[in-house]
Amino acid sequence: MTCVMTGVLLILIKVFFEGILGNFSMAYFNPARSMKLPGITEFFAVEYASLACLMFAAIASWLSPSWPVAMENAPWQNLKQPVLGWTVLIVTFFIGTIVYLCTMHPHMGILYYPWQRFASIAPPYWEKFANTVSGNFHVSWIMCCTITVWLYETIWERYPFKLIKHDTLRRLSAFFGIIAIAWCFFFFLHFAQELWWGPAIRGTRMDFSPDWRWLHVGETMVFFLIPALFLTFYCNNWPTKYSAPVNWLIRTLIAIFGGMAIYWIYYNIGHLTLGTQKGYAQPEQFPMIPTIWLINIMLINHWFMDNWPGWRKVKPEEVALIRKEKSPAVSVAKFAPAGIIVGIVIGIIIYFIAIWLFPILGKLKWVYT
Amino acid sequence: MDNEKKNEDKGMTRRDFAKSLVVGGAVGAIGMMGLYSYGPWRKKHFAKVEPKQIDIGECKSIKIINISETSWFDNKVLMGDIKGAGGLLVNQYEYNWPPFSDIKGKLGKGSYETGIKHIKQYLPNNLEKAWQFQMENEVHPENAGGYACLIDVELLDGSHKKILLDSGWAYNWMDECFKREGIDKMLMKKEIDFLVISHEHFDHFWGLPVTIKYYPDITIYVPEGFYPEGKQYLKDSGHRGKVITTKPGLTPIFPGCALFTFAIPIICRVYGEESLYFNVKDKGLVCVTGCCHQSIIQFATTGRNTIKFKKLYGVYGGLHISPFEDWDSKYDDLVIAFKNYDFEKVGCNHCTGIVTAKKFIEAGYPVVKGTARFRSKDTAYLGNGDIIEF
Repeated sequence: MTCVMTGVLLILIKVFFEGILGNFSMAYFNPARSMKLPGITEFFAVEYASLACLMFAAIASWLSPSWPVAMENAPWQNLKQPVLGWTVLIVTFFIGTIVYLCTMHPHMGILYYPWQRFASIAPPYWEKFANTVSGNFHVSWIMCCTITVWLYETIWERYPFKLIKHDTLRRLSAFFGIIAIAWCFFFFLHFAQELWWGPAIRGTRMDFSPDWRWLHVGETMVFFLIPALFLTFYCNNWPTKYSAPVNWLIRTLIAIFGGMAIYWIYYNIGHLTLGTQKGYAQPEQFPMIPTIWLINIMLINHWFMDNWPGWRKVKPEEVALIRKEKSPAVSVAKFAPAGIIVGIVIGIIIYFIAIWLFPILGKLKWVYT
Repeated sequence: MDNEKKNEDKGMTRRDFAKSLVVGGAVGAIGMMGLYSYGPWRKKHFAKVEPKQIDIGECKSIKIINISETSWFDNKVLMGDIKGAGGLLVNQYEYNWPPFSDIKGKLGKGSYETGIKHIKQYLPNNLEKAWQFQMENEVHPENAGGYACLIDVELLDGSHKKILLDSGWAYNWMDECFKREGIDKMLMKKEIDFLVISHEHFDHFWGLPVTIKYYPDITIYVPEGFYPEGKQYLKDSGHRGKVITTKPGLTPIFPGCALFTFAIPIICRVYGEESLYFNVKDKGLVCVTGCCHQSIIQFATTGRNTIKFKKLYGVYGGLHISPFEDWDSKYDDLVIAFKNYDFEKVGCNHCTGIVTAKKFIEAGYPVVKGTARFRSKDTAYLGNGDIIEF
């Protein structure tokens, strides 16, 4: 299966992106075409094409799992395979293309001199809001959506939207709710960097550059997915003995602190083994590569190898049984209004404690080296 | 127990309350993340940094002679070599580039040790022979150039201090440029006070023996962060003078002049860069850089926060924006943000990139144009042999 996937990937890059889009649509997908422009070297032609493909991949990594997880494959959930799979693929690809054109195409348009004002929006429409013309702003929130979908599916067990009984309402709430939650994380992690390092300075490079700050939000989010997937794939989503919200809380705390630990290890020790320079924002430092590779290995091991050799192989009929037992909605649990109000207050207090702590932690040498 | 019972009677247990707390907590925390974290009110949480501006004194004027800004002559050849050697992540000493070429060495298969052994005996007095070896054994030795400039500072009392900023790369090219601008004679007469190596990159540092050939005792400033190969090259080049390693932060040198070292990681496994500030009387602060990997915005902002001066007046050097004439949207951020710094004189070249210089001119910035002589390619910025005064 891994070989098949690798083959599909190569076909996608070489045939679809480079061959079809690069020759009949947008030249920057094909490095050979970009190199015909004066001054564009092969090195950067390949980089531009790779960046465009990467953005498509980022969008797909959000939308593709979103449809089965949040939308429960509706309205085609009753179709049989492979019709269902192809339908969802075509729909998510269609939406993904629109998202690409609205988010990354303007970024690509300003990579050329002069700006391609008549082929893309230049300067891009997000400039004032994001304090940068870079498409990293979009890469970041889309990666936040991707991670949130996975958290929602794994350690959150599709809570809280699972509590909504009405099918359509639940699906739409889940789809757009995931985006909303992702944007909350997106803003928070950006703010955390401002508190940790100081506000970004537009036009500067590396740690203080607004475009890198946005990119780093996406990079940081991926760190949190590693412990979350580990809990689900290899620890049977431990713990499971408490009520759903308490299980959710414990797993989320493990993901947060586990992600922070991996982040710390990566930036303090990773350069010794990965051949990168010590530091955060130089061009060779792109932690999404090792983290996503690790996640890919975990996915291959879990999906294609049934966690072998760590766990026994699950028979297909057992998988079917488990899937059948999964109900898209659960009965509305009892909640104490007073508890919810107290919880909201506690949540707000925790938020302010966190933003009070960040500047202090940022100054500690053992944390920030 | 009684309360628990009462709650149970109402159909509400402690377990339900705990669940509610968690749900409420999640709503409160995540809600605040979304509502508070990117609003204007967040700015009140930013630490207020009071600038600690140091008085570095003043100088009367400075004149900069561009000895060479062409670090390489063909972008495609350079990028092809970098790609062939494994990319921008690779340690520059492993590229197998001149002057550290091994015999019939392939790209990416070199090291300082294997390279220096072929030329050490020729340094610094027989550079022709050392370079001849590169011409015979390297892939594209003819593409190597180098970056260097001479800064002539007039002090308030009318006396002068001369600073050589960087020593380029190719021995033959740098020697030719030194002779063209009379740098060789100035070095021999010890008229140049010291050499500043902005950073360890090949095109700024590897031409060191050309300077040493004419002035072996010259004092050299290097930024903290040099790797062992670089430190060894200082010795192997035949240098017999003082080496001063500047620590991150401000180092005043003489009235009106200070070095600032930025502790930053740089491509090709280089760490740290130092640049110069000059406080020119009645004009303001002039920022002079080799490559400005810290970014000109960071450089100017740091100047504002650390030095007492009238206003930001001028800038000279490589601004490291589009060194390979590539483009990235963050460079546009720089072009757009540059106007906020209100420089009155911009003398850029080298790794600034011609595209950037053209965008600066289009944006109305006071870019001093060049003459495109001695293999410099465009008049959009200051070329080899051009002079700028502040």
